[in-house]
Amino acid sequence: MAIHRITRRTFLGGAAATAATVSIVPSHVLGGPGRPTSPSDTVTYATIGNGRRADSGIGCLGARKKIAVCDVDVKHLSNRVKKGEKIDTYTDYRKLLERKDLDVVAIGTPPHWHALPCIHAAQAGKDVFCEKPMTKFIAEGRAVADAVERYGVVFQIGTFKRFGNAGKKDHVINHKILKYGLARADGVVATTGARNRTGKQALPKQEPIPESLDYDFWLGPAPYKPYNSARVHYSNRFYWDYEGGDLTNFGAHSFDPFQWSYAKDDTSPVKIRPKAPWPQHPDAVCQFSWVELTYADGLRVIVTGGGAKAPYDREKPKSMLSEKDLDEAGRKKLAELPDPPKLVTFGEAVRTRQQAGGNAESSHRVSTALNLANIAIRLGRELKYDPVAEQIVGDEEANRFVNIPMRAPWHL
Amino acid sequence: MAKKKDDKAEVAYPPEFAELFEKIPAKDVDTAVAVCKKLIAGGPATIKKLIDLVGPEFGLESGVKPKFALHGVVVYAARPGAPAERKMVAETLAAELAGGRSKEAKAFLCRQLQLCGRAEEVPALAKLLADDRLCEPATQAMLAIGGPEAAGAFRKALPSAPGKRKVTILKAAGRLADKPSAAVARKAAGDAERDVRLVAYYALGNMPDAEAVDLMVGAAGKTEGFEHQRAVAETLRLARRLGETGDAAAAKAVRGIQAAAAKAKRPHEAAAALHDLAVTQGAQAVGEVMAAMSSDDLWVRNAAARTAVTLAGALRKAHADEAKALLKKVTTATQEGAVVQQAELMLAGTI
Repeated sequence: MAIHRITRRTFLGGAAATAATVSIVPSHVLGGPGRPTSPSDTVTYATIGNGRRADSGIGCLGARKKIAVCDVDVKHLSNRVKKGEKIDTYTDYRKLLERKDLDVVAIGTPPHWHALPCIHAAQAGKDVFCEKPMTKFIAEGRAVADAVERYGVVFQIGTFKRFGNAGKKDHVINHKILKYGLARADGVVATTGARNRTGKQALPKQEPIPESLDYDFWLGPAPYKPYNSARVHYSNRFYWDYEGGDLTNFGAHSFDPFQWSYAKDDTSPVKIRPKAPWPQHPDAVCQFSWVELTYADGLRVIVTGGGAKAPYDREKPKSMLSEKDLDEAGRKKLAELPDPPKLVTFGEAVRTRQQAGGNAESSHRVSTALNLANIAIRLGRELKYDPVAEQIVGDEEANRFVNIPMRAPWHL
Repeated sequence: MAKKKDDKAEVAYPPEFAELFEKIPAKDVDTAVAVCKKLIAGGPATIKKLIDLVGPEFGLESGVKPKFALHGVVVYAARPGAPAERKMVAETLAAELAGGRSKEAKAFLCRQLQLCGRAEEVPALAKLLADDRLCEPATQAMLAIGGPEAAGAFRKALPSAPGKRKVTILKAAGRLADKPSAAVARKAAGDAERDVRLVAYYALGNMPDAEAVDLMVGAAGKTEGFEHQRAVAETLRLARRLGETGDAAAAKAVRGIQAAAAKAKRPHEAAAALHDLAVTQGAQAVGEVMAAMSSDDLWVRNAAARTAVTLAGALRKAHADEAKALLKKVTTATQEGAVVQQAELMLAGTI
């Protein structure tokens, strides 16, 4: 009998891989002549999207060589390739992915252009470093995580604080208590803030498209709207068509380590409660005050934006659980259960074919939580979410934000 | 009277709207909802006036507050438990698609219908499929609405759609899994244009069209580069979708990709085929997953170990012995700590 939706069972459970040390294994065991296998082996990479981030976070790859850059704005390409440098340039990432000598792609495009290059890279057998936020809408994240799992490629998101949390004893204990269900998290609250910049709501000027920019390709899966420089390159993050504002942009940096510490890498909030000015503009990201995300075990994560000066009102919460929150039997069980394995760096993961610490499933769950926050803000109402079916419960309008149709020829 | 400067002329909002516009966006939702309730109470005439005030062009300063108001009305009316309000708003928006409004204004209305539209609005949207500028926003609204009316409209428009609109509409028919469009999709898989071929593969994969298995495996085998990668992916999608109903053709699709991947020594495709063999064949895939965990290729071996853990989880209740065997093999086949730990915890019954 066929197994339905087998990829819904995330077996990594938030704890990624490895043994305590990397051993150098003979290449005939590792297989794949020509593939980098030891820490000193050079990994070839290319950058897709060369505006601001490009390869800013790629240091985690270790020994590496950039062999190509790709951008739909040729001005960005000329900015990134120094005179005399032997780096190939592309304006179409699909052509880049055809290269047999390419191991890794570093994706620094706007978020509406994260999912498809990630998926296509996996289908081409390339490992992926992807800037945060991972995706623009929830179904994209599921598609990326599934593709990464299916093709066995390595994925690392461009945020790393979880590696620090994973090395702290109190975070490890908190993680274990919640992962193994030794206690509920009612009364536990984690709080973080995000900046709250907004998009321009009026863009009356008809601007000519710069000659250097392939605007149709820049839009890609996003709806067509007349060109305006305020909507592209850096400030694209303040328009719903391309990103979710600072909530998803900066929110990812703090939400990701929370998700590890509270053992939530394989699930999502079940209740999302917003506080934000309303209605929100249909095109431009607006302000928000806070969003409260509640998980099934009672954990609450609050993301504050400060908009409209309406602070989240709460009693002094407990921020983490410890052995003191367990009875004697619970403490005994805690001691018997294994600690989570050390998180694997991207460079090690690429060379040893393991999943990296900031892998696709956990990153999808981070993006899901933050995208749900934005959906609640945009609708001005509380939402309920099913983390297994990955659907909003009882709200058809809200569910239309979960799997947004893409502009042809693009699709998930 | 409230006035807004727009380009060189001052624009005056009608008094019945000016006071309401001053209140939104509001710090608290209740204040804004009260505004939406007043606007909805004004019926279709009020909604049409709001659309007028949004204006014909994208991004007008004078259109900012009307956009907040109209979008707020749409979102509020489409909330759960308010079918009559949603119906009135959606019908009114749909009716304005036929008139003389500008294309940008109609595109904006399509985006609102993407949230509040239902099957009844499909006929009005479908008329826009014949327009180069409006085909996409109408399609996106119809895809969000879904259902047999939308699928039927795409099916009807497909045979005569030219160029980019053919790509849009064929992709849409595929997304809605419109099997009656399969014959058109099979023909499109041989089109001269790559974009047409690629959405045809997608459509056939998602419908799913069991008759297209040989065509898809063939396309994966004879194409190169990006098109090959997409053909493989869509053949595997076809297999998974066929597997959901237990169709035996699922295995044929996967095996076609598996054989080609082995011959071409593409470990990522071998891993993908093995993964989808497990998804579609369940317990019958255990032997092959076990064997793959002994592969000399680390990529295949580690990917197989992850697949094995997921497969074991799915088989635990009905095929306990096979599940146990898979998990035991995982503990020696891979050095990936998280996967080994998961297997050990499952063997111990901890999770």
